[in-house]
Amino acid sequence: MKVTELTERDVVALSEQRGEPDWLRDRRQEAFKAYCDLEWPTRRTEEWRYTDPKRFDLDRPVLHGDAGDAPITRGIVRALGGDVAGSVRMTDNTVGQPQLTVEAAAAGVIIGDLATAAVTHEAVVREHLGAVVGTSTKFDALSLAAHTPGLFVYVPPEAVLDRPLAVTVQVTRPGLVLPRILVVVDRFAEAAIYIDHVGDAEATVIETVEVALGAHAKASIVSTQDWGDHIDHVGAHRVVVGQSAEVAHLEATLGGRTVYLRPDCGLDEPGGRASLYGVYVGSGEQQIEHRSLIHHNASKTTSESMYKGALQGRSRATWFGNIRIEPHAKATSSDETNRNLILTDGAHADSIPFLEIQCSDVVQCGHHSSVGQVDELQLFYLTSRGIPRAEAVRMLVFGFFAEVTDRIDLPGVTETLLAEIEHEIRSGVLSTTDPRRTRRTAVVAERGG
Amino acid sequence: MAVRNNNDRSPDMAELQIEGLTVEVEGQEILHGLELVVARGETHALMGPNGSGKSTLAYAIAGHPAYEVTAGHVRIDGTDITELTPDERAQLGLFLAMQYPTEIPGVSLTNFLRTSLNALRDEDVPVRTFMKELRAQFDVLDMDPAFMQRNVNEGFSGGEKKRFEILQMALLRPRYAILDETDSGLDIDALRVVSEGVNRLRGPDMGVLLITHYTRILRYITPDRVHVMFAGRIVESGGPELAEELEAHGYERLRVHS
Repeated sequence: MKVTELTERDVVALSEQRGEPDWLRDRRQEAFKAYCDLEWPTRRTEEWRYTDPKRFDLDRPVLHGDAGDAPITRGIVRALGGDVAGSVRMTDNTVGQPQLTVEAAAAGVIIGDLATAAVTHEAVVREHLGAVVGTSTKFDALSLAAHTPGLFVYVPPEAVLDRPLAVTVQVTRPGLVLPRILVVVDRFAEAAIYIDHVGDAEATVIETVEVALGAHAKASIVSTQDWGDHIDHVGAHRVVVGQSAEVAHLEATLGGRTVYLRPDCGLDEPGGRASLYGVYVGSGEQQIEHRSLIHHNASKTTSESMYKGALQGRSRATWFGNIRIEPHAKATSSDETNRNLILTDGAHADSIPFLEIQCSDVVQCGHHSSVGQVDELQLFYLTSRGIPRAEAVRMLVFGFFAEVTDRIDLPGVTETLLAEIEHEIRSGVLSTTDPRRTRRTAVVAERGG
Repeated sequence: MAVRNNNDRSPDMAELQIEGLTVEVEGQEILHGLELVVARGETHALMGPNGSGKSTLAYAIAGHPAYEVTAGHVRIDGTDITELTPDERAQLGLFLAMQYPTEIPGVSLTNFLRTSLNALRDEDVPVRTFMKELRAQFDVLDMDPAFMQRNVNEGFSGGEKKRFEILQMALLRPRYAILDETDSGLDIDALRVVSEGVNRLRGPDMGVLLITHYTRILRYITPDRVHVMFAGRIVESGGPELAEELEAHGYERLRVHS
């Protein structure tokens, strides 16, 4: 089966194979209708000006049958070992056996296959599935119509988890895969959820992660894109924040051939707070885009966004950050920052802050954006103390990223990400030549010396 | 290490030697064939009015990329360092206490110092030994140990930055130290602490080039030699009494020389 040849019958068959209840089959069919009515985006579509949608090969067959078996070598979950409240692996088109600690299970935490949860926890799944990420774009509609594998993560009211829930999305076989994850952190609950994306194959990944936070809930969502060099990943990672709830959301994009993410946030209820962070490193021919909408849709909501990236080789990165403040959303605070370090000449970054302020009663709204190189004065200071230039560059790059990762105080995150960033940077070709030397050589040459 | 030997003098020359140094900044020549020798174990004061090229000399010796040496040489103990990178110069024992130390967000002070010490000593200094040395130096320079939790120079006041420069000098133990207006912007207490820090390190193993605009610091640090710089050249050299003469008559009389 190919998504370009998808029929309503395919969608119904998929639902029946998975033993889904009627309401979920109906929802898939509705989504399929929306999917048929939408056009595939092209380079002329505003949201796709910087990443060519042709990079996502839609003619690859949708993965079916048994999942492949490959060891996991990267990601935060692996680095944590077993020190988690619960874990599950989604490999290719299947959901593995979930693990939960006795305490987490006793507290009512659920982590497992979405088709099963649609029966056992119908009310909560039915309320949220497709409500956070609906059918407004072709990829979103496709995900709701044809997702598999599907995962449901639930933290019940007032449950407070002191260790993270760990999800690993792994791709081992060539083809196209449509994972969908629904996370619900109910009122007054607190939890951290890690979602690692790992593996490598000639594969297209069309993914949805939808997260709903109940009133006064606190959640941290850490998503790492730690793919190998052949994966093309398009994903909607959207969080909806309940009344006086708080979310911290970190995207770490280090691998993949193409990664196009929409880390959106809906502040739909009064008093909600969102911190959206991102780190990305582009190498080789990688193309990375983070396109985020922070939607202030209620009064006294607060958001802070900080994305930082380093680019080397011939990689390209785009950050597009939109803060939208609705006319009825009074007394909001928002601030967004994007900084890019260009480490080698062939790399490129676009940084586009965007504000849609439709309300005059705003406490604060700011944006900061830059594309630059490693600071030569800082480099001179470090090297004048005997630190070799390449090492000094690495120190400055780590310092640059630590400013983001330090804001999420969760086990394993900063250490693992900085180690992986170090690995990425070391594998690239750094501009470690002293410009003074290059210039001097040029001067000598001009003088015929 | 790539050290060029074709211009090397004999290795027993324990001195920082600047020979015919001509330096351009953004295409404009600032130093015009400057000559200066600082023997190890001696402290030389380099004085001169604003714009005479004192800081240009300091940066050029340390290898700042914006300062282009178009003629002449700088040698450390007979080794020509003119073509070397800043870290290679530091490896040979050069240290520059900067007039405006750079803030480096995200790089912790302790990580910076330990990386620097490991690079210069070419060994992995154990963390305990390192922290012990560091605490001792904080104590000597009357610096708040809370600064150890900070990033390099981040949020430091002007005086704290200068103390931290001297602290680095004490920890890294260079053979030649250039202090570029370390006294500027210091109140009298800070000036005394910094001067004591320098005096404690003076000895047969270190040569010091003390760059200053004012004679004030020379009341605390008595130089062996005093040089006066004007318009990119050394125009006068003498003993400590030259500083007193400058104190009395100012730099105005120099204009006669030029």
